[in-house]
Amino acid sequence: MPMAKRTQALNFQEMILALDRFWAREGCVLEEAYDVEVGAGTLHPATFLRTLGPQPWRVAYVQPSRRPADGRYGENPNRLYKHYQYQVILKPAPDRVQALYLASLVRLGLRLDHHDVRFLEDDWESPTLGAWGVGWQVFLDGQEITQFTYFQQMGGLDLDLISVELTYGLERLAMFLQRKASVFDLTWAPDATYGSLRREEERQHSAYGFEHGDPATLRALFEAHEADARRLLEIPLVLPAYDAVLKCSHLFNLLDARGAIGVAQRVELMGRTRALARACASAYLRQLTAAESMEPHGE
Amino acid sequence: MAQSARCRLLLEIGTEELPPAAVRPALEQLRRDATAALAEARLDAEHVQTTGTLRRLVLIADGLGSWQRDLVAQVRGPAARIAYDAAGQPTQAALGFARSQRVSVESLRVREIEGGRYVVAEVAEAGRPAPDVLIELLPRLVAGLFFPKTMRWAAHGFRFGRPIRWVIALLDGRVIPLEIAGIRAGRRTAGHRFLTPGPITIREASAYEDALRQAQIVLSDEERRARISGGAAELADRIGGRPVLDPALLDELVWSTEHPTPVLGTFEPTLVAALPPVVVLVTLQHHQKCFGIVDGSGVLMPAFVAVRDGGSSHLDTVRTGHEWVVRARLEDARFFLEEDRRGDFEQWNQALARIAHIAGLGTVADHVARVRRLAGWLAGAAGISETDRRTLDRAAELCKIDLTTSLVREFPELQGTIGGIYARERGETAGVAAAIEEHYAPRTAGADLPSSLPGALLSVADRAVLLAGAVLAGLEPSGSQDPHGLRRAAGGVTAVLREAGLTISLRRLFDQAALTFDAPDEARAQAVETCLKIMRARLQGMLADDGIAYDTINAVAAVGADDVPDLVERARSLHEFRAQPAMSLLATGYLRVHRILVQAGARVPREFREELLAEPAEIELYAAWCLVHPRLTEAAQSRRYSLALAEIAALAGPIDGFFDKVLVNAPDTVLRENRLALLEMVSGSFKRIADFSVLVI
Repeated sequence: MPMAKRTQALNFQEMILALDRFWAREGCVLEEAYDVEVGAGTLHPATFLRTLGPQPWRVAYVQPSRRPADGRYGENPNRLYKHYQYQVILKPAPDRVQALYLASLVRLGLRLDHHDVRFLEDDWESPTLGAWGVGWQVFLDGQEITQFTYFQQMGGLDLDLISVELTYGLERLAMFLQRKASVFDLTWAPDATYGSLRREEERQHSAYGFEHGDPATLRALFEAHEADARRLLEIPLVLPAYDAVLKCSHLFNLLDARGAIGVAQRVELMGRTRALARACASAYLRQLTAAESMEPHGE
Repeated sequence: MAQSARCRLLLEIGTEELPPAAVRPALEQLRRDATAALAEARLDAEHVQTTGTLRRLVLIADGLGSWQRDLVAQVRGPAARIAYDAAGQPTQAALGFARSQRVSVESLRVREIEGGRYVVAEVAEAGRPAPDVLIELLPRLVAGLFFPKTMRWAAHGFRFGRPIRWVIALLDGRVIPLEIAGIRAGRRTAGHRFLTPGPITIREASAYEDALRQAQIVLSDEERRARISGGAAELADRIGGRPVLDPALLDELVWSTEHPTPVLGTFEPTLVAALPPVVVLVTLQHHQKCFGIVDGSGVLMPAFVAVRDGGSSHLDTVRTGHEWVVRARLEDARFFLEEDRRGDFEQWNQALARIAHIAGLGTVADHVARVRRLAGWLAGAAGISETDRRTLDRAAELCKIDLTTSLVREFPELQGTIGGIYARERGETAGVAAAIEEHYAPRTAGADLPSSLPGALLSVADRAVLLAGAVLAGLEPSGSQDPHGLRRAAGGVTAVLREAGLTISLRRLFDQAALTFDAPDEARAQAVETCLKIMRARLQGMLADDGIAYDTINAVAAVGADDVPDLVERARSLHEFRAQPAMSLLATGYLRVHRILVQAGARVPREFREELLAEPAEIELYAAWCLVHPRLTEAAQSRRYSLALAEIAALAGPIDGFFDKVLVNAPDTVLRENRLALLEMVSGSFKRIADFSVLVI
């Protein structure tokens, strides 16, 4: 069967650059990844907190997302302890958001009419964040490449203004575009593969996550950050408190991967993290409302 | 009445991709609601239909009146004797009424209504032009459409299944300027997302179907279905196979495409050889939304049919893309399979101790230990062979072991199936492997039931432990809330016991299930009652599904619902017997027995002494009972309740004679008690089958 002629696919960093340029032109702030470990781009304060309240907001960033339980020592061609999400928030959701998203795929070098692009129902929910939304997984010739969500609730709060979240799975998209069977064979830059940059990190962090993480230390850290989050919320210093919650969430994931969480405890720890995330969302919104009412009005 | 012409109404609600499963119900509701609303609005239509895809809900009403029918209504006023004086002149009451109805007093008529004579005004409301009515009616229809989950997407706060992006509302060539979800209706629709991107203008409602056809939208779901299934069969035929047309997947594809085009793909034969067929099929169907292909003898071929939403140009890129993804998926599955093959039962078993069962019930390992214990008791209660007992015990030990394997984590729908496969690979007997797989059956209500006895018993044990544990943990279902699927589990127990014809006392089953939990006796006893209550509700539901009347179900359940196959047989037999002519005399006879016993009150024990019988009618009843009772007992013991009912029918005549001739409440206490004792024996025979007094005759 003749392989269709294809132009040279973008490498990993060119993909990011292309998306950056595309979304910057659409008025997005190009944020950087958050520097606290998170399991998904949604946890970045630029999403979790900024989608609350009535202010319009557009942002795009790459978020390295760590999921210790998914680590496979760099041996599985499809599974990673850490993967990269390209995250876009458009608030409020523009009417032509689907067309806009499809245009971003064209920017990545895809001829849409040469493929099979589908929006397949997939609603998103994060019990830990008290958040849910409605939307699709976008499939490209059967490959899932993006999670597309209209947020409805965040931190247990109904949203004033509905945001759209676009989460591109960069590795999957790149594997599809570059036709690579293993994530580690992806071309990142002309002389660097994904594997050359990341495989050792996968190996070591998997070993840490599954074998060498010290449950007692992790647990103590969880407790400490949790107490800190509570203390900071009292002041209130919402943003540092939220960082502490993110720490808790990541420590929980580490404990879980390590198999160090008893069954009853699992539910309980998740509940404690959720309660704190909700408290941060409420406190953030309160501060926002207070700041607004204090803004000087024109004379 | 204004001149009403016949015209065509077109309403198209353009949306972002709706959940495929929600489209058909929405279209059906739209047609129903539109038909009713148009009739109510006095807008006659010759034909109302709906059609559409996941991106457009379309309502078309043909032969619609361009004006409402005029309304003529009679409004009742005051009584005639108040409205007119003795001379027949209208009074103030009549004048006031006429004024209020805006008619002349001369036009009032007197009519007989509900036995009284009243003044009546004929009020006419002239019909309005259809657009004036539709401008409010149509938005209401759309707002009333039901979706399992709704969302907001913009500041107006309108809720729908997915965002609405355009609206067409045309009456012939005229736009009805209505507004839905902040969008003004117009005449512009969208074509296929990729085949015909750009807007399309609909000049006339009658031009709609043609315009969409030109835009390559296949509007009819039947046509889409034919394109998919016909196309898939044709492609598979080219390589000498036929597609496995999973009905759920076919439906999903019909409702998730606007221009479906099947495409054939292939992959390496080694992948089919390396993986269990069910894993290949599930990968293709659930993960890739493709149809698998089997050859003439039903063996999976290394090929699939994907369905593209688009045309046939550049189909090669699509094929290559799908092939690449399918290959990656199957390679992934193979990777997991190989990873699993390095593991062993011991290791997986240990991992079960780290997986939570439902909240408050410990780990899955705890659950397995309980299931194994209950299965042991069930083996005894069901009196199974020593071989079956060994099979059951081993299968119980291994039944959840695949939950920690990579393949099941990746394909949760294959739990049990993978367990069975791995058990066989590791040298377990075919019986053990089958029981592991089957213990999840029935996977949904009405699905296949276990075919082996150990599989059936394990299925019952697994569900009974789940039910007892959840109830003990305070997680019993309430209202529509049943997050742990307890009702389904209860339904599974009844279905399995019935199918396997297993006589297991439900009370003892749940006693034993509750005993596997560490809880105070009182809590356990209470939990057993709750479980039995849930079971009884499921039993009733199951029998009602068989078309058996509720009073029949209640009558048989009233004398015992502890033995499922026995209950089912009694219900079925009584149901059939109730259609027979003998039934009515028997039922009224029993009612007389029942009433007099209730009146007399229970005085236990009443002793029956044959020698005290005096009247011929009572002797005759006794003689008949003596003949009937042993035969009935024998028939009942072998669950031949149709026969038992035929036997007991012989008592109808003697009961009738007894009540006609014999005074039960004789002044002599000894005689009275003896007659009551006889009736208790008769009643007891009936109650071997049902409490006939519960029947609604």
